[in-house]
Amino acid sequence: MRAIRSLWIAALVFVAMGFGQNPLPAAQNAAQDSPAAKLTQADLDEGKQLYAAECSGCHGVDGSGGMGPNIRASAQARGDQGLFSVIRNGVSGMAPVMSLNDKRAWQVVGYVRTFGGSASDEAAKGDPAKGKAVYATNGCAGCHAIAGQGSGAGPELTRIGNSRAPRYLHDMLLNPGANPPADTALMERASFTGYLLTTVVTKDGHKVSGIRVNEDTFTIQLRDLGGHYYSFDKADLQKIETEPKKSVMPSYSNLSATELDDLIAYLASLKGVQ
Amino acid sequence: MRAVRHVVILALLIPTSIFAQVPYQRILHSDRDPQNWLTYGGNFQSQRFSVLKQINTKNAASLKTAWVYQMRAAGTVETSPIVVDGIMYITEPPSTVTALDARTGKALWRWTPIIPRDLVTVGLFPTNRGVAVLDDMVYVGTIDAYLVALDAKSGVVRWRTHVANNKDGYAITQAPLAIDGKIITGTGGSESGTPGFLAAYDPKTGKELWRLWTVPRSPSDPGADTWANNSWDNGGGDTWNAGSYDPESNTIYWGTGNPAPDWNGEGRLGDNLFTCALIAVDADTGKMKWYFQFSPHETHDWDAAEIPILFDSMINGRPRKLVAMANRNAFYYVLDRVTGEFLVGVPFAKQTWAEKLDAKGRPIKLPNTEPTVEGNLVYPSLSGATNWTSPSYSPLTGLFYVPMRESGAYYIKGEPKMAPGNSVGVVGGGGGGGRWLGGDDTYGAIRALEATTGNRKWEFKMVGDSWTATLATAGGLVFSADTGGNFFALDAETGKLLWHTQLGASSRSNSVTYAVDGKQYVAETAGVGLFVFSLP
Repeated sequence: MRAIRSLWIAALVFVAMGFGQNPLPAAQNAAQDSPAAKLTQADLDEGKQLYAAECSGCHGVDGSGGMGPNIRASAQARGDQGLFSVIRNGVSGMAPVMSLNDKRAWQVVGYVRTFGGSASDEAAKGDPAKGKAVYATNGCAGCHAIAGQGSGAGPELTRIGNSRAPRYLHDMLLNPGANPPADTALMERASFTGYLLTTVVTKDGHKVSGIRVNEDTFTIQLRDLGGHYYSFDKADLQKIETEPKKSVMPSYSNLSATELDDLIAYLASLKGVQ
Repeated sequence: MRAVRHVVILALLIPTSIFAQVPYQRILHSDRDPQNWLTYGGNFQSQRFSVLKQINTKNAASLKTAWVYQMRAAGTVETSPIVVDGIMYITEPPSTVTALDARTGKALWRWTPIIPRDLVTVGLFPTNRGVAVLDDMVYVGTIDAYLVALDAKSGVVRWRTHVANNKDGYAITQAPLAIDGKIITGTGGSESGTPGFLAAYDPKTGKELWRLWTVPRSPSDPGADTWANNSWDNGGGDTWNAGSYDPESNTIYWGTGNPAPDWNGEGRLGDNLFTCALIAVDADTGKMKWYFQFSPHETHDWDAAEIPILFDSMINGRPRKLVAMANRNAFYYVLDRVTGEFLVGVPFAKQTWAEKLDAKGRPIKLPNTEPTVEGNLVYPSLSGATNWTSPSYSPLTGLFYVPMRESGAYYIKGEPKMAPGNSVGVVGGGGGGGRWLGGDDTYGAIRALEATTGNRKWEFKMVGDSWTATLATAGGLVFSADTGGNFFALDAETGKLLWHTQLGASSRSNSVTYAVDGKQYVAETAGVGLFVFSLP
């Protein structure tokens, strides 16, 4: 247990969930021949209604996220065809939206593109180059990976600029437990809280703490900060305790306002391996 | 020539008699045919109860996989198998029918319709919940709203009838009901602003025999005065799940779905008959005998399409013919199925929308429980305290086993935008929507209710939602599954876990049991696999 505790103390930046393993397509300009370019205002109105019905439950009524990720910025990065593909084929963490036929999928694409959110636009405040140094000197790579460098203990940040707005990054850095991300690492876990701190006590008194990586009616799987996986039959446990409003990641309120802005600008600039 | 003609006539007659596998009388007496599973709900009463008891409380722990069938079609699998004399008929998404050797899982034939590219499916998964069988035919409703009769031996199409216009949003995902001389089906589609109906078809020809609309179609129709400003024209009341049948009184029992638009009722003030109701229908004429509306003026998507279970029992010292429904609105109801009289109504899950039910079963709604622009947290959630997957009833225990969930949702009011008969393709016509509570703030369960009172006898908790039926058997078992891929058997009396196994994907269907060559099997789907278990 001592080893686990010391690892907790050493816990570093857990920022937010990425979109998963699928690389984003390069940002696209609205092509003249894109069906989205031919949408009328009536189509966009229908797209808005469809979005409210089919998408808002996870992505929020304004695309700013909820159970699922913020899509305001990533919608711009993906472009019309990329968004259409996500709706039609799904993406890591999201199943295809079978209830939308092609016409309706394009109406939703058109509406989502009106969000106009862009992580980089909102992140203009800080200096990404300086932010990179803030990232390096604060040991963020102890838990996070960017473009293959760093630890996989926390969410990968290689494309975090596509999936999280600066506002969310700011809140996560200061108060990481307040608004924990959904568990989008595994699609079937998307309605559950991700990176949930969990402690189990076995019937013979052994205590293990870590991040919950999966759970069902009969079993639970944890990963400690050393990256070790544990699997328990619940029948063998006397206690399961979770801390839903606490994150392994410490608050970075010790950073100066400038450092914070620079770090956010750096994270917002991360759009994937080029 | 005369002799030859006789031979030809004989040749035509013989196959008909040989292949008449499932005459109506056989379904009527399905209790005498326990090796088979002849209707969606196991019998006309939809009890999803089997008298088979080779697998029982003493040996369930030793259940082993007998075979697995991997479906060829991707998508959400919600089928409930039918088993006839060693042949299993299942559906694969969206509307494929496959006949399997029920002993080995080997496919015998498969029929797949051509689905239009511009298919409309709003507010529903493009899937199918099962077939009906009668005589030598297998009947299936298709996602583009056709009813199709297939030859049970070969899968050849015998007839195909256009039930409703998919371009308007109609779709069929539920299993038809086969009774004497009629195939009954409803449709889904109210989320597109289509009016719901129940219809009967000639089993031999596919000719429509009657059609009963579940919402008014003109200002003079019954119930029209319960929709302000002729708002019945927006549709609603779809009949998207299976129904039950009382052969003695020749009455069909079917639940109806929400009014349209759903989450914003401002434009349709009134009770909005006959939505969110149980309707009792004369099977010969299609006339409504009575109705009971569970959720008048519904605004939370709490369809009453849940399976009604018919059973007979004593209530207050009197023998009664009963129909029970665990409703999506979180109340469990028992009605007199002859008269529709309300007898019992108690919550079986957390609910925050009704103070109570009055003496006639009408809910007294609490204030501030309507959807709002910002979102209003109300229990149960949009999925309801239970949903389309079947409950079961054991006449041996007198218990009603309901797959359910404890969950709430933030209900959001939107701007209604209906185009009756011309789908705008929007859930609830844009009337709003909702945001579910996360998985860590909710849980699923199997709850055993005393069928005549609704009092809870036991509960088996699950991580995640419940999207699988319960199956009760004379072996003292209740089978169900969770969304984490676990299929399990519980003691029907106590809820004690007796056996579980991991199937590797979520189950969203109805388990059944049957026997071949004296060996009992239990079937359940998970992902796109159909898993069948038996004793070693």
